[in-house]
Amino acid sequence: MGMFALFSLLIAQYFKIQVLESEKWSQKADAQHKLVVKEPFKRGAFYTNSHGKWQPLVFDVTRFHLYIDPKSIPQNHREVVADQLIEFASLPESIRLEFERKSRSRRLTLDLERGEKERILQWWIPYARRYKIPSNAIYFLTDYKRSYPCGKLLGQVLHTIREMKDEETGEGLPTGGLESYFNDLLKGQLGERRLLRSPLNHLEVDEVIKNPENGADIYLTIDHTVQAIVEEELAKAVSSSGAKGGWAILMEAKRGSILAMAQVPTFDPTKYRDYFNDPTLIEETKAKAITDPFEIGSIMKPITVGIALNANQALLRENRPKLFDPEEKIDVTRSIFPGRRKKPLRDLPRHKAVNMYMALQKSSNVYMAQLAERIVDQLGAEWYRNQLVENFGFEQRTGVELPAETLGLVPSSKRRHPNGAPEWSVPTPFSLSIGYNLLATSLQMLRAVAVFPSGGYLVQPTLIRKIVKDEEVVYSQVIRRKKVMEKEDAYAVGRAMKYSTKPGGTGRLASVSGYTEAGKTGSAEKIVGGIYSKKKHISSFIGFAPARFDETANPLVLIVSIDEPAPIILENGIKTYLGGRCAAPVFQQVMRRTLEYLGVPRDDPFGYPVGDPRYHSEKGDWFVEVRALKELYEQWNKK
Amino acid sequence: MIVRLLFCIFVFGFCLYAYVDRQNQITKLRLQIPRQLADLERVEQENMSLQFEIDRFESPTHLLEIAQKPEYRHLKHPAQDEVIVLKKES
Repeated sequence: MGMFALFSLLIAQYFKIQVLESEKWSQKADAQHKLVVKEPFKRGAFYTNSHGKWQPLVFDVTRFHLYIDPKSIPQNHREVVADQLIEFASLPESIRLEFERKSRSRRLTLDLERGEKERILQWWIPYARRYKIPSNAIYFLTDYKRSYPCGKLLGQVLHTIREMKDEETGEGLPTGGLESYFNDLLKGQLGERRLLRSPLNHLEVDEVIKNPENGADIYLTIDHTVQAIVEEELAKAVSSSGAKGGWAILMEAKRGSILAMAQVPTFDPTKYRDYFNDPTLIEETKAKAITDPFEIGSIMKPITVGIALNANQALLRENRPKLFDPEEKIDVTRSIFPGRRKKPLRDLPRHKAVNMYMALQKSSNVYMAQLAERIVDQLGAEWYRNQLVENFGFEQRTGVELPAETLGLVPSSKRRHPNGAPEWSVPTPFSLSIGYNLLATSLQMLRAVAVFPSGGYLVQPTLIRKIVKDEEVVYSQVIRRKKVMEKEDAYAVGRAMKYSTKPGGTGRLASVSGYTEAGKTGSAEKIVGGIYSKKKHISSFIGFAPARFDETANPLVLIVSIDEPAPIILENGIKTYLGGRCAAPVFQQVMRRTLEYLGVPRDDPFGYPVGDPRYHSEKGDWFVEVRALKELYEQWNKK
Repeated sequence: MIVRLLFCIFVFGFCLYAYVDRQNQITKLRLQIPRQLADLERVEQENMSLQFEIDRFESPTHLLEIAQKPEYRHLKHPAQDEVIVLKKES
């Protein structure tokens, strides 16, 4: 009877544990034996395109974090295990302390490679079996790390993510650039993986219970080969001109697709700590072409001419006489302009009279100032300012997909300087016409000049071709542009810019053999201590090639800015720091190599330097026009 | 009756054997899954590492360096109008 009672009690207890309290005990058992860890997601990759082939520029590679379960490792084995781990993974001695923690999970190191993981396991598994230690006492968690097969190419644009990820979300913390701008798309969502501490059943050792959601991949408009060409040529120019640095952007004028965005000195994303921890290097982490506005100097002159042609159209619509004619002979001996009595405007060398083509070829300050004077007289200062802002995009963000883009500055009659003086005063238009008194980024300038080869459209620059999430295209490039000039007027400015790169022009070193091109040089003095420095300049060249003006042409527009070239004047009087000397050759080399690489057919087969067997004085593009202009110039400017 | 009973037991036993056998086969396959997955992952990782090496070799900076070597200097990029595309007739 007693036995029966005891047996009944046992059954009852068994029933209570197995049935009534099953959930409680199951949870307790799970807590003891099962371990749920986060399964990392793959951050989206960046791809670039060259000749139709996509190549990853940044992607996640698998790395392994090494963990131990100190409680599962018997005391007498801890020293041996620590010795082996220190040897296999080159760990510091301090990890021995982790073996004494009262914890079931201690991280010993991050980012081991597969080879290191396999070496550890090859030793550990037989060791654990021999001494009957649970094999999961040492375990690895998989994670991903950014890798850069092309090294520091496009560094300032791409940026990177910090080494330590957010522990809760597993998200990488971007340091800037595209990583930061597209962080929400690039990041995914963590999954979950269940591990057993002392597995008896191999089926449940390791199981993904929630799949991670990987981030979206971003396909850039950048052509990595062209990017490498631009970086190489820019580095050569910065070195040979003794400059502090430089940057360049190459863009399709009609589509706004940026093919290259280079900057020297470069930024290596894999060494981001070195840059951010050094105040002298932190500057190099910025994409200066969009973050650092500067007074752009003479590369502004084609814009001034463009605005004057727009003024012609505006006056015609009101049945008023035209502002000027491109062929018109304008006296440029004048040097005094209203509000600039103490700062006369002069051309170097001086000219007597020029027309629009000569003005751009010779980079005449006085001609531009007179155009600005006529614009303000006829249509008002506000109309002039609106043209700069609304039609040519100054003091407006370009919309490129990068953080920290600055607005720049166009003076306004509605604002005042900190000292109380109005931003816009009587002499302001004269300064604006030659690229002073306004601040613009290189990208703003690039898209403003792209108006001419594109037939009068202000295009939105973009770095993004498409975005793909789970093999589905979630975004595809859209060309955003607005009409800001009449096509023929835009092409007229473009044609006028062709004189600049030919003999007699300030940018003749930019002439691209075998291809048509057009451009404009500029050398702006930097403001140091509140005054214009004669020794510190930003020297630029902006232009496009091929310079054909029809619907089928696909011109590439390039700006090159060299920051603080050494102020050297050679014995023959040549100033090596001018845009025509240090930036124009970069344009020539980049355009030639890029057009050849892209397979663009030569559209100027006779346009080679004198002495080259392919040179032809009649058939070479623009040779006849340049000679005719030279004759006219000499006729108007006889001494 | 006994024959029928024996027949039923035989059929039942056979079915039970077949069932257990099938379960064993399934378990064997299930045990292989983690191993196969690990192998697959390893191969994928190796592929990725190799691809990384290829990408690094084919990085434009490296290719531009190689292009400067005397043995490759004769090579040039053909212009689009110099490329002849031959269509394969089916």
